[in-house]
Amino acid sequence: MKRRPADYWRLFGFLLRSGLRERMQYKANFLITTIFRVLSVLIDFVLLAVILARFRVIDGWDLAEVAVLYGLVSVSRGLFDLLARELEQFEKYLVSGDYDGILVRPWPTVFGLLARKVDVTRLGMLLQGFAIGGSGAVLLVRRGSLAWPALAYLAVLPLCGAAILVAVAMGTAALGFWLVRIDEFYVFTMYAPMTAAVYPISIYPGWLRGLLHTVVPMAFAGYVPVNYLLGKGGNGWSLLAPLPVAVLALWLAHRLWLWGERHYHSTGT
Amino acid sequence: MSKSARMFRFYHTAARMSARANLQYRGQHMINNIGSAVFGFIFIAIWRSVASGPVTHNGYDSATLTQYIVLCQCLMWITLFDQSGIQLARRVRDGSIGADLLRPVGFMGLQLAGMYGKRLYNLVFRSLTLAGIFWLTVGLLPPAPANLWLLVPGWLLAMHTGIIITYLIGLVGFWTVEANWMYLATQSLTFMLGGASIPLDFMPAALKAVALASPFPCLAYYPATLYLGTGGVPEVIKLALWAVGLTVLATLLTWRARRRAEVVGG
Repeated sequence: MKRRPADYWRLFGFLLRSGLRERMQYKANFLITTIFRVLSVLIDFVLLAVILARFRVIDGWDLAEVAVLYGLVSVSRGLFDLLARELEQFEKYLVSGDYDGILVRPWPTVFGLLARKVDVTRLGMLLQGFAIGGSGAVLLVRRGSLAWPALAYLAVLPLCGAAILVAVAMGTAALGFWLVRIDEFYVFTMYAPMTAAVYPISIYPGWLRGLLHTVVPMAFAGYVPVNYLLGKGGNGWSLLAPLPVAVLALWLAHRLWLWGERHYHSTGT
Repeated sequence: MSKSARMFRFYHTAARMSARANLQYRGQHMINNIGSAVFGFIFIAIWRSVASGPVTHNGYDSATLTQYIVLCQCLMWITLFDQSGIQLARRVRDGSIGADLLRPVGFMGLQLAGMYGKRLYNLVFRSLTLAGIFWLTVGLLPPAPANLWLLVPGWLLAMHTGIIITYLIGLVGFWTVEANWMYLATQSLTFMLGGASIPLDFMPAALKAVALASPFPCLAYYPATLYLGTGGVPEVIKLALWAVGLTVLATLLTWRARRRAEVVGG
């Protein structure tokens, strides 16, 4: 059955509402979980601020500049967590055999998987990322390091960041069709690169810089374009690169997913 | 055989079974170790970038900071990274805790024995393996000779404090729907107030005072300073006080939790 984009949006809207209703069954728990998610991300930024308060710069990047990187990665992560977190939970579908149920649904399997859950507790993290990144960007505009139009560019950049994260998570999940147990892989395909992307990539050893520009291209979620916008290096291509990189990463990950799906063996449960 | 000997044997078996259960996943844990090492390399790169050269900052130079980060990365596998608390809270939620409460041994002892088994497994297959990776890549110096006699009791107390905190996270499940938020909070607070990613000596005075008044430095800062030689007997005393205090608190809360437990269904 051919689906129109509007069908996907309608389903997404429905899931968002039902996710919110589900969470609201336990209001206090929803509130506490949301607050602690925000606090846990905020603490990362406080640590960063403590380091920069003492040493002033990290490889020439000051607090406002790093705040922009931090905000971009946080919002990308927030969008990913809100919409695509089930990719990170794919192992449990393989182990329990729940993936069989997704295979028989009249939707593309990746969408069927993402549609299983929309986690609204991640909204706080998203807003917090916007607040920190936005504050840093406005500060940079005021002191003339960044032009006003750059703010519009930075506001949409997390879409590419989130797409890159979806691609990386999908690629990692696709490995599960052969390996089944994949939870531990996310540590170095997602969590470590996300932490690394919050800081200027130039501080890392060559092998790590290479990985962050190619296999796990998180450098394009913030560092590459912001580095150019702040006049620290790069060229016009640095601004355009995140989009083709995100599209290519998504395409490759989806090809791997479809290939892997042919190797899927149900647990029979 | 006396009652206490039987109990000890039971707890010993529980710890052994827990360690053995984890052995089934050692291949995956090795993959995770590489991820943990990458995290270590990231933090080391950050510190080398800001504190490069032979200049010392609060008594730390670039090399000492590298050692500190390496130690914390290894330490946290025996003090912090354990989802047993979340699993315990989940058992409360789905009612399977009823079986644990009915066993003819202490509930708290049984849970702690399982966690000890897991931490001992982590010590060998996580901490020591990570230490090996770091030793081969960035180098790992031996512990300060003057502190050798303090290191074992200090690290054991740190591990015990971490286990009790994990257990307390699980106990939260008796009062709330889930305990994930508590686990998340503990991790974040250990990274900040525990000094897991930044030595407390670099913190502003007010924040450092808050950190030192909390139990979180027991999970990273105190044991790391014992290894580096910048800590000593006072750190071991603080570790012992927190270990005893939190154990008493956990015992009292276990008593309250048992009275509160209500298992529905079957």
